Amino acid sequence: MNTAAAEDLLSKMEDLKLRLSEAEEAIDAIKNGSVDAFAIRKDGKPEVFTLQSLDYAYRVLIEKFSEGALNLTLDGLIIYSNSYFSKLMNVPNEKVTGSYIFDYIAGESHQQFREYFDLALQGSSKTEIMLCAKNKNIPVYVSLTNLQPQLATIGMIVTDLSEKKQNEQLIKIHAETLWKKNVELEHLNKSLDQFASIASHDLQEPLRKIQTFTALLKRQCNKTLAEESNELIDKIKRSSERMSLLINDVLNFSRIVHIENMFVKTDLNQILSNTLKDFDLLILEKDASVRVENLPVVEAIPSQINQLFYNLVGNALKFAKIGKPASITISSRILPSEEAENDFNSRFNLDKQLSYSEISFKDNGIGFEQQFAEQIFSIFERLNNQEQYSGTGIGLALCQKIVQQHHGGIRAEAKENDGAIFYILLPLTQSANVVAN
Amino acid sequence: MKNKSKLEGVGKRKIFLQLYITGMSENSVRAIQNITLLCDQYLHDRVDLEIIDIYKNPSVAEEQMIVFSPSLIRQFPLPKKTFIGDLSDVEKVILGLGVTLKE
Repeated sequence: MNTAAAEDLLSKMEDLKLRLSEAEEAIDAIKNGSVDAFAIRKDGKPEVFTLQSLDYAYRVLIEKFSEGALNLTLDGLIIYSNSYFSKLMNVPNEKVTGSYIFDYIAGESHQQFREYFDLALQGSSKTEIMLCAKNKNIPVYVSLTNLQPQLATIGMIVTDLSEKKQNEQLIKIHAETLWKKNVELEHLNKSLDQFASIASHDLQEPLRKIQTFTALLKRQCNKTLAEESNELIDKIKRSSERMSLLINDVLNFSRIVHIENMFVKTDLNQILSNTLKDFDLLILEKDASVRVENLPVVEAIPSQINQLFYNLVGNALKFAKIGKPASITISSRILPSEEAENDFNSRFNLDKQLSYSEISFKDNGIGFEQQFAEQIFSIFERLNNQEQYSGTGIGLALCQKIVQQHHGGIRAEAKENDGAIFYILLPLTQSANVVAN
Repeated sequence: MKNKSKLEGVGKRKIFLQLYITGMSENSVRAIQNITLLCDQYLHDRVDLEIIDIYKNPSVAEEQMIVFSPSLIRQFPLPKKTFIGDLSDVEKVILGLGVTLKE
């Protein structure tokens, strides 16, 4: 019995040894990579499993993707996370897989994430939430997609918004600083304007008295005073007249402020013809010829445009050459868009969305050197002596202020003794928020 | 209540398990779900579980002599034990891990 049993056992052992070595050989073959596929029976059906899988490229794509990519069960269990997500969360990948996504959601975003997770069960959802990495919250954009019925899971893509949020924060801070500065500037501007207005107004009063009493003095003592003294009184009179003019101009200048919502469709031909009527006498006196081409209709503040034209026509007549008939040409054209960006016009910050009209005032007067073409628009800047050409030096500064108020620009071209051309750019329409209803 | 089940066999010592999977293959997904459920229900914080994707770390698979995926390895307590498959037979896994349940 014993020998028989022993023999039986021995033969069984031999059999097992053989099967073991077969199994080991198979395993070695697989290990060596000399096996491509398994042909096995599964659920009674033959199936082939290839070892080098075809989804290799997809796997590498998802794995190396620089966005977080996760696959979640419907309970939120993470069954796959690419390395980007585990790095973002600062948790080893071995620990991320098999944990729950809810563990990585910051407290404040929990409810929101639950809602969007449930929403994703119907198809897909996208939202911004806070993730909670070790001691630090990370703003992210998550996109959830239900992968059923092909897979019983939900795919999740996570985009880190930290940098974007930081930039947004910076922009916000900058915008706030700008806004504060702007408010300060507006205050400053207002008080300056008020100052100018009050000062000019209060200055007029004593000046009027000087003028009145000088006139009175002259009338009363005309005969008793020496010739010399009479001349002195005349000088006082002229000086006070000039001062009055100066004060009026300062007052006008300070009034051109922040008149938004006052823009209306304005026919520039109408304005110009009114302006020219004011100069009827002077035009006759100077034997001037004025040629006007058709001007456009623009959205503008009529009283200011009137002032603008008045100053420019006035200048053209004032600075006419002595002993030569003045010739003034006023024309306009639509500024071609390519010219809106040339050297002359780029500094005006023109709005690319708008069309501009370029109106030119050309004269044959004394002109000036081109090097002064910018300087002339500064307040109190005068190129000519007062003996020959009266004026306060405010006229062109006022023109510039008006044009700026209309979101346009003004520039000049001239030659010494050979006339000047003033170019005005005005937008045909103002941007919507400043136009009156 | 399953949560109140007590563990015996491995005493109070910590269990260190590693599950080796291949990406999101069907069996891998099932194995992850089964082992996490098992740990949550019976082992709680007494288990240290790592889930390793051998697609991501082919060299680790070689070091651990992993041939089949999914494979669950009990690294501690010794001796080392390997379970192959999707771990759907919970009782067999618990038994194999040396954990007996007592109500």
